[in-house]
Amino acid sequence: MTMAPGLRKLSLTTHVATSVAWLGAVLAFLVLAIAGLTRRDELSVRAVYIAMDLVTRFVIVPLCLASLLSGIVQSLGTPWGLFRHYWVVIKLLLTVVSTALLLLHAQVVALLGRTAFAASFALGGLREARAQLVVDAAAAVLVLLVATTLATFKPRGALR
Amino acid sequence: MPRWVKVFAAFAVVLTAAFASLHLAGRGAGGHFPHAGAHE
Repeated sequence: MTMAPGLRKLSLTTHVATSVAWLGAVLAFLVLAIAGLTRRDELSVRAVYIAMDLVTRFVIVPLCLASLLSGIVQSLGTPWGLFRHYWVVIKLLLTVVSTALLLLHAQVVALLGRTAFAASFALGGLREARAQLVVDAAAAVLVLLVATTLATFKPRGALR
Repeated sequence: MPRWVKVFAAFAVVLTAAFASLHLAGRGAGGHFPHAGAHE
């Protein structure tokens, strides 16, 4: 099943826009995660974790799902296919695993966001979770850069 | 299988193992939630 040229370009534009926006949002998240871990003043730290929760819920998760969905549509509607070329399969695998880990770790971000909202603010006990978010975000940036590189270079190699 | 896929897979296995060991370490940067009695 191949899409008409106009629909194909619309689908490609959607996929590129959501994927690159996802990478940018995760980069912003990484900066916030580092600030949340290193800043000392309570107000700034509270603001950082509330912002991170909002960005995760309303920007990163929707972009991640849109990127995954538009990527599947794009591959099925073009001659590339979903399981015909190594680079497409690897990119799909990276995106699926990233999506699963993101949905899992969104709970940690939500916990920090709720804690930052609470009157009895005590993030000290959550230092490990705060450090974990920095590691996770850095790993996510790396994975998304690899996926972007694969999509740009499209290295050769068919599965059959 | 192309050579680049084998090299990619080798790097992916090493990086995933490193990340998983850090992630599941329990203490340090790996823990998700505070341990009992953790105070700061």
